[in-house]
Amino acid sequence: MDNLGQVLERSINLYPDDVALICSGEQVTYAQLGERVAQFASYFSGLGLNKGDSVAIASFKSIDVVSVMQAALRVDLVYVSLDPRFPPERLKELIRDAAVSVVVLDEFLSQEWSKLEFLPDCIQYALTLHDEKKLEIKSDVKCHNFKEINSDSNDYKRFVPQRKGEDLAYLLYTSGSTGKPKGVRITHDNALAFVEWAASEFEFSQDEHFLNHAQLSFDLSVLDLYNAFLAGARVTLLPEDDAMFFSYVVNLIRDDQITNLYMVPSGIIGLMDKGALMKEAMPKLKRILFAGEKFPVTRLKALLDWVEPNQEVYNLYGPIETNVCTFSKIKTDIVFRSECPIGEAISNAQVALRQDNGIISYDGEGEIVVSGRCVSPGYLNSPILNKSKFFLQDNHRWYCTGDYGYFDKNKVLWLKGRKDNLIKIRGYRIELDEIESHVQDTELVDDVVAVFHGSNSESGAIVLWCVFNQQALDSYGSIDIVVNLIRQKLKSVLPHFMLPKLIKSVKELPKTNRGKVDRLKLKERGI
Amino acid sequence: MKLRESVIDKSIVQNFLVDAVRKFSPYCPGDLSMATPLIRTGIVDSLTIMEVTKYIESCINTSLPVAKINRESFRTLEALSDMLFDFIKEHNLDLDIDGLKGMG
Repeated sequence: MDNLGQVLERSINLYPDDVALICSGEQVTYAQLGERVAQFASYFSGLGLNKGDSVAIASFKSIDVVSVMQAALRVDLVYVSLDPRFPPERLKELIRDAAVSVVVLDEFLSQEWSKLEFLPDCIQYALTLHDEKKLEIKSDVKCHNFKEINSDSNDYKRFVPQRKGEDLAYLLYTSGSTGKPKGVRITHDNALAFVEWAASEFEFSQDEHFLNHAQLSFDLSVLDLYNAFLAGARVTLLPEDDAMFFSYVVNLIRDDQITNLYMVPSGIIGLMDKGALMKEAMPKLKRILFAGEKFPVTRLKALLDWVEPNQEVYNLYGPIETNVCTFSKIKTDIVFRSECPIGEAISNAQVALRQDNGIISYDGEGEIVVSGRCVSPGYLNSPILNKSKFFLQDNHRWYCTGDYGYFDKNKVLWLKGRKDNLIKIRGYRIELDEIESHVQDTELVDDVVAVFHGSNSESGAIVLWCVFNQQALDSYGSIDIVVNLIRQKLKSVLPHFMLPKLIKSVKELPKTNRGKVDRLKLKERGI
Repeated sequence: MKLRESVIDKSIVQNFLVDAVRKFSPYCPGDLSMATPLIRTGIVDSLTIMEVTKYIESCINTSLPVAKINRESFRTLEALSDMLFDFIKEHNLDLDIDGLKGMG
């Protein structure tokens, strides 16, 4: 297999009558999914796009959205899954960066976008999935409503992808320290390296039922979709609206007999605390996989207390640039330190530690670096960043994760901390520098620093510490007005999970001996 | 101030919830209306839902049934107000509308 789209193709051929996808009361078999994919593929192929052009999908989860992703792969396009809740300015910036040719919108975003005056010039076509009315966007974009399009083919086999291996399959966007989000390029081979490893490690079977809790723009969804497809299993796509209600999710896990759960720790903790997730609620659950942030040890112990011996718990570690690169099976008799281990490298990756002097080692402490099939070819349109985050050594191309770690005497890897100002909140990767950069742009502050106050992502909060510009204060008359202007600016460019909870005023920012802002001192000051 | 169910009209519950959502949402727009979608716009996320629920429960001094905390209730402020108003009426509860003042 060398094209990610072949994963689905295999099960369409082998298990045409088995249920593939379920979402909001609708379900399709593999054969029906293949037909739907072919209809979208037919639509895309009729647009006269070039191989490798990008399709942005800014839509809430649905069977159609997954069909669009698969159709893009089928006709050699690159898909970019975007969170439709992002502010329009951020969506436009991502679309411009990815030079998107086609945007796929659902009803909600179609309505929002019809109000916009300007759209990026790169967009040639806009396709709406659910709106009965014709989409109207104020620009030169050709708008189509999928329900009005007469597809000339629903034959899946008609489309044979040419792109493979090192060609791009999809783009994932994440927060960037320079003030701009980063587009992480993922090739067919990158994605398949992970999917093949996961299939071999977890031995997913055809009778399994995956719950896709993460958003489709999140790399956790890669396992939910592609490993389920590879096994010929079924996947329930949990709509974003429902995913927030923990008791609903727990009922679904029980009633739909979910076997595989892959979530961020804060989501699992939410299920435990608010949804009463416990042994009785998950009779069929085979494994709980978590990734994206640290699982507080006390809570993980509570989970392990009632997990049955035949149910597996795994910690999967890896930044978006590598997807999962290490894994650790958490056994009930595990000896924790201040956190749980991130374990050992997956079969398609090499993981090592880079010392300050640049030497790569497999013991001691250092920055975690990764090489192998799973490593992205780099960021889109970011040559300088690529140079600083990727390097060649010992005939391998390595990615610097920015995480510090150490190997214990059993060669098990543990996390120690971060090299930079990247934090994780409920699995979202946030560069605090990006928030600061947007505040600086307002020219309402002389200095600003964003600090994460708290010990975990559920109770913690981002706080902005600002030295307000005196001229701005004089001209607007009060700090409250200036604070509101900053909030408005941030709301227009940042997704909700990156917005600061509080904006505080200080006369000057405390500095360390080396002249850097002393974030620790601000943290100690409290809020 | 505590208000008995008999003197509550829906606008009091609505105003109470507007303040609560504004307090706990990191993403509340200036023109928040009763019909603004809360989840789809990112105004509430899972954490906000937990915080708003916890706050409502402290102000009515009782737990909301799990079945009431769902996507329908949190669809808009109007839906949330309807749910809370009906629940207060049904169970003859007090609503401490000054709760926010004690929350710093």
